[in-house]
Amino acid sequence: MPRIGVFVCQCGTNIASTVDTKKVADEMAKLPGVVYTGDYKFMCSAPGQDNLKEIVKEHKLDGVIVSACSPHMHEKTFRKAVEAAGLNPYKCEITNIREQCSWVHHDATKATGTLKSIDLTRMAIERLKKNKSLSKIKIPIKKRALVIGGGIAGIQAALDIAEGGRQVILVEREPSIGGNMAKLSETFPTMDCSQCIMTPKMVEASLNENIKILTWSEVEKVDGYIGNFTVQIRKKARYVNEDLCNGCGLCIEKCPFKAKSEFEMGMTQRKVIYTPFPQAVPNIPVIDAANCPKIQKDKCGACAIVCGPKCIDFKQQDAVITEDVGAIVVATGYQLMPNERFGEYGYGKIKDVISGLQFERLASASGPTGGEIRRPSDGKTPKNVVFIQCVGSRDEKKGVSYCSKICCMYTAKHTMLYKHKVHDGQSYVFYMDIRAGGKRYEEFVRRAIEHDGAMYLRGRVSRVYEKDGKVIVQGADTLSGNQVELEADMVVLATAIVSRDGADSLAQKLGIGYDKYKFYNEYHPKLKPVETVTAGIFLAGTCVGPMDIPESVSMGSASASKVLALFSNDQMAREPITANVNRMTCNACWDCVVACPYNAIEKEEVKNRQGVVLKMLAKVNEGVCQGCGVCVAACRSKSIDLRGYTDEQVYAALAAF
Amino acid sequence: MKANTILTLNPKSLPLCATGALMQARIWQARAGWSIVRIIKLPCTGRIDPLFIIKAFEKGADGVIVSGCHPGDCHYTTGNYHARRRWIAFKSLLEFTGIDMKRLHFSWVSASEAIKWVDLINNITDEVKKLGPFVEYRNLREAQ
Repeated sequence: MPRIGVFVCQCGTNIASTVDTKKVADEMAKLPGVVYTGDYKFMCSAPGQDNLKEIVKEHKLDGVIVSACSPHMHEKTFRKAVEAAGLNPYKCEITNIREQCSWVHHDATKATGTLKSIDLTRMAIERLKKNKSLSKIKIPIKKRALVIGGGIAGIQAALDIAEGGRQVILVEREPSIGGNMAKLSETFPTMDCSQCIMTPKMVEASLNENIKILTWSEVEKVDGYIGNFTVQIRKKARYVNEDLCNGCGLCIEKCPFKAKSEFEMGMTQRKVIYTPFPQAVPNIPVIDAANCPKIQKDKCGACAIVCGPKCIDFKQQDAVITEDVGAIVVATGYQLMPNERFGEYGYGKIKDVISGLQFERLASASGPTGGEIRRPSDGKTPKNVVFIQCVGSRDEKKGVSYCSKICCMYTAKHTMLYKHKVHDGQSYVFYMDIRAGGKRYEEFVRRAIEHDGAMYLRGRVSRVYEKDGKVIVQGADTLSGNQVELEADMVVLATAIVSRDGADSLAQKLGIGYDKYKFYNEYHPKLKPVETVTAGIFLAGTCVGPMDIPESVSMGSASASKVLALFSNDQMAREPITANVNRMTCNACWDCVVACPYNAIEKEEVKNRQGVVLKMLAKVNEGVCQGCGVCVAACRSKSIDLRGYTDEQVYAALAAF
Repeated sequence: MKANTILTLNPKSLPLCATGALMQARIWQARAGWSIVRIIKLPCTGRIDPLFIIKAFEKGADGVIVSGCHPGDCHYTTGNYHARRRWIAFKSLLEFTGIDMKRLHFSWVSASEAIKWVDLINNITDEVKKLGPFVEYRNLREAQ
């Protein structure tokens, strides 16, 4: 006969207000095999756990039920306590009578809540009687990391992991690392030049022996699990041999063809063989195959003629390389919502309506105008500039419901940059609210208004149109209650921040969650902000949601510290919830092999002493098995079972309800 | 009191189903329907053997809800695709065995869909209450 102890937690009044815990304990005492029952105010408290340990020893229990909160909260706590008392931790089961019972019942008479708690606890007791002692599985850890995305968050994560002495593979989709931050002119609230603080980090990453940078590359496939991922990375054809190229730039100089520059946000042109910007890391050009006449029509080839080291290779193909890593940091960043969606603001139709990132390029010393503010249509210096905030943000109908968080600050920065460059200019800002929460942020906005004379108008813009070479902005000033019509020379839209194209397909490859805006989900938004539901995969930067540079850097460092903590162990213990095969009954139909999503089931040959194969059997690789149980339900001969969720356990629970 | 018991096969792969969604459920005013729900935790909908469902009905459940991650968003990569395919094949067999399909529900609910989860439970419990106790299997057993 088993010797089971049942501990019912009151959780203060969380459970006790709608569940009569004493009655639950008393009812459970009537069941066969239950030798101790009791209720307690806070089971998870130190005295609560000590009490549990003492009772386990005193009553020589061989199974423990704790009826309390969700197993996600305290299963670990109680299993540890039980282990300390000399019992196998998997002989302890948690019944959830808080989230799944007391919290969803409002019956003050406690009738329904008590009844349900009794049922749930009874089911758990019957299940527990079938529990086997299990021990954790030890698996080795590959101490190399993959960082996806070479923006500031990814670079920071890579640098921190590398500094911890571990190898990092930094994968970037564009021809150079740097991300969106490399495009910015200055950064709020310190007004230091973005490239001045960004490029040293980029160079540091490229010089660090522990960091291998793969630009113009994308993650294609991810297999495995924490500590043992296998990643396939597609290196897109660059048409330039990276080992030979010395970055002299002669090919770029001689290339006679041009295309729109992605880095300059389409405001100027670049050559067809190009590096996105002068400080690109690595300083190796890439050929834009779609626009290259040599690749398309076999005409030209000027770059190959002038190239000294002969590194241009028009026949180069995509290459897929495989890397084994133990942890992955995802830092894929953001992009701006396409402004074309906002026809009333004239973007795309009116040349002098530009986006926030385009203004950054205009103001940047390395930008298309060399840092002078000149409007795109005729190159004149604009004397009146209107900035429109919340374009798409906080607009559920046409855009997104969330606040893009950084626009209030960068618009204030834009007005200041503008004033510093065009002293007699006037800036106007249409805003909904000014959200300047952050260290020295509010002071920064005040400075824009008070020192640099930005005119802030609270209200929305209804229409932007062109008239006699001017851009007319019609809107409301809700503070004075007047309709406003401004004659502007240029309009800057603070468009919403959205997730990168393809964020969802990458999430599916990685097996991590994302929300309806395709921003990645943290494991817990407050307490596990850089972890994902998939162990060993961490998040950093704006792929999680809109955030500013300091936050992105913090997340990069935070996920690096998580990776290094993981790598500080030689092996890792994992839950023994795995499938195992009954070797007596398996008839080698291989349904399980087909069903297994992790390729964890192998075909094993059973041989006699002469080496003759007697029969074939399915064999589960415990390191790879994740314990989903798909094979169990697929097995026709009932020859596979899932430890911790055996058929026996489930039927026992079903029989008791 | 057991007359209207509903059994939920509630996958572990909804880590927040137990905490997050139900924490929010508290705010969204869950109704009395919850009191007749009993939950069986399993790692994945793919783990569900159709016999579990028949067993539940045999043991006195009046309705069964199978709920897990959305297809394409499986915590275990593809488990719910197996579950979905198995469900399609199994549904007609269950109908053949005499179970009213109004008593059996398959629904994809993600951990962040608290409102959907609450509505689902409320609607199904209301519907099953209207149908009354499922006595066919019990009668069969007694007849034997």
